Amino acid sequence: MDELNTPLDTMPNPSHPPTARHLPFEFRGRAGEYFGIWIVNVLLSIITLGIYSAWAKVRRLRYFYGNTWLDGHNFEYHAKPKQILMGRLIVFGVLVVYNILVHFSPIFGILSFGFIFALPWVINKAVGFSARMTSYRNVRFGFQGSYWRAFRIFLLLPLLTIITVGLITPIYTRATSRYLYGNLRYGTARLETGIPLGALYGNFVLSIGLFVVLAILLIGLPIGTALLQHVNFDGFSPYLRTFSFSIFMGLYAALLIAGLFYHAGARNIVFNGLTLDGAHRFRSSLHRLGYCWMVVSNLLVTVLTLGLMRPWAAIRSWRYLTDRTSLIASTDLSEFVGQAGGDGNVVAAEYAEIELISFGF
Amino acid sequence: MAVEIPGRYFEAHASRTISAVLSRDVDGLFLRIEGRSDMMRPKKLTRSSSLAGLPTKLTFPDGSVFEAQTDAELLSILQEKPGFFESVGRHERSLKSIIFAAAATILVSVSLWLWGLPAFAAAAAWMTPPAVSQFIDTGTLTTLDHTLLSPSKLVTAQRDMYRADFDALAIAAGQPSGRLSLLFFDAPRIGPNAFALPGGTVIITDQLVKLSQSPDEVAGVLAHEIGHIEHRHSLRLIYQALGISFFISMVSGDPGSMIDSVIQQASALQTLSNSRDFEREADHDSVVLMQKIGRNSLAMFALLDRIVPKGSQGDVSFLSTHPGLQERRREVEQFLSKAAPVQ
Repeated sequence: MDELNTPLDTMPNPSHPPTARHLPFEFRGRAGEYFGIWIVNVLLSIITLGIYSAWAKVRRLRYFYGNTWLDGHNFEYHAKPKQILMGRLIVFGVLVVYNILVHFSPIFGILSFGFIFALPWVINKAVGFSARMTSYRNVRFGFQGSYWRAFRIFLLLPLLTIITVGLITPIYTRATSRYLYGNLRYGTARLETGIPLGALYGNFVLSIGLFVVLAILLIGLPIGTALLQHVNFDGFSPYLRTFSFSIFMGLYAALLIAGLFYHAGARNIVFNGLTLDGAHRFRSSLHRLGYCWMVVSNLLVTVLTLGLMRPWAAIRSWRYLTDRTSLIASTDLSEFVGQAGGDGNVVAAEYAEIELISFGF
Repeated sequence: MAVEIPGRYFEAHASRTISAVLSRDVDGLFLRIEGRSDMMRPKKLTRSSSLAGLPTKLTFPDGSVFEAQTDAELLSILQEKPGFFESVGRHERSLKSIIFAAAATILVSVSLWLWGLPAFAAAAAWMTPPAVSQFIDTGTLTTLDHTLLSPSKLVTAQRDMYRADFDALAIAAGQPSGRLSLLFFDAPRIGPNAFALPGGTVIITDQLVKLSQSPDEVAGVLAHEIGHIEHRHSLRLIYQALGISFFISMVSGDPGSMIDSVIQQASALQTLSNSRDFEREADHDSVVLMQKIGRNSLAMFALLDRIVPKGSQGDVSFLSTHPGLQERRREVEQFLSKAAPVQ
């Protein structure tokens, strides 16, 4: 008889016996070990004027995926460096030609409309490629998107969010998560997404609260110093420029941190609502303020060391996420089978990466 | 005793884990898989490139995979020689290599940033065919024409006088006749200003001319702009910006959240610093050219004094595209006093 490793939530599941196992994700990567890989990647990439960067990317992702373990098995990244290089060269070529054309005559700016309409296709193919290149226990992931749904969710919905001054952000979060996770496949298995809007709004309200608190603190400092020094504000005082700059930076920082807080909370809510193949649940228990601190301190440390601590920061954030994610499996996970096809498109994936569209799984 | 490597076997596209053992006999490589009576003899396989202690996976043509429990002796059983990534891996693990790589990276990055990229940008600027720069001019002019510039309101006689000065300066600079052209525009939204486009077009606004009190003042500004074209400064700035973004995107790989905006700010600051150097160069050129045609090279600063509001002249920071006016005037005066006056 299988044993219960940890006491679970009391949700009854009539179609499966209560033999569920709590399987935490485990990251075995180490900063010291990764630094060696990272620095060799950087040096070889510079020396080869960027050609090696494709091999560097594959090594980096194989290191992170390969050191992520679940139930005694690790993940794998399968992209071939040559195809990544091809993808990068094509994207680079297209961007160069576009920039040259626009310099010749601004009329070619019309091409950017083409880019906008290509965006849903790019997103679908980029996610499809990343999914297809990832496997667990020799079964590959996959993604089946649809152009018009992607169009509504990634072009129209953001517009609506901006129009409503961000008030429907939780709705946007739910729509994108449903689309991305709902269309993700593990072999032939699908994911169900049960994302409660109420919980998302609760998280949203807390994030706004954090923003207000931070904004008061970060704006209060320049205002306080100004008042203390009896600064004269009229005319072209150069102090005015520094002052308004620091107010702007304070608001921007408050917004970014509140955004991180929201993102962590949303990730918890989304993951906790995911069900794989109707039988396995996910658990995410990120600590929102802890996550904010981790990202901000990573940024500070990386910048202060002129990038040399980047490998340490990368390991730290990956570990933070894997340590707080787990799978509640109701079988021994040997029943999955893959399916061929739906390979996605490497050019779309490299374009998405260059334009820094990331979906932060 | 034949070496045996235990591991796990997966059938194609299936997550079920099966114990297996890899070994070699006189007939070649074989795989003994639990639950199967006959051994599998793979004709071909793909070995995952070695990486920091991760289990090696052998992929067979039918899509099945064998994950070796240990890497020891795996290469000898497969009868493969250590490849490129085996040696890369050794360096990734050796402290000496890591320290060397870190030092080399810092050295190469700093010298590329400070010297290599500007040199590349200068070379690219010199190699750019005139037709390309002229295309850039046409494009930029069309945009500006529709947005910020209107036809000049100066009288023809006035424009002809400045054109004569301009042509004299162009000849003094050794430019073939007809290569450079001077255009006047009324630009209330830009105000008093002059700029040089890469292909040889110099634009001067009515507002600048109206602010001037002598022809020498305008001529000095024209000489400064010709200096920019001589040294191909705008092209170099374009290539430098391109080079920086290429360098960063190709090299950093995975920069992490928000690092890219930090890097963008840093490269913007670097571009501003380069632009200040270019302004100094153009100031020198202006002095040399004005002297060649026997005009007053300091007159230009009187005009600039009128353009820049008094209060902010001292406030020059790393955020400015031009060095401060006092500094520029001082440098030009020093340059003049050092150069022996031509009698």
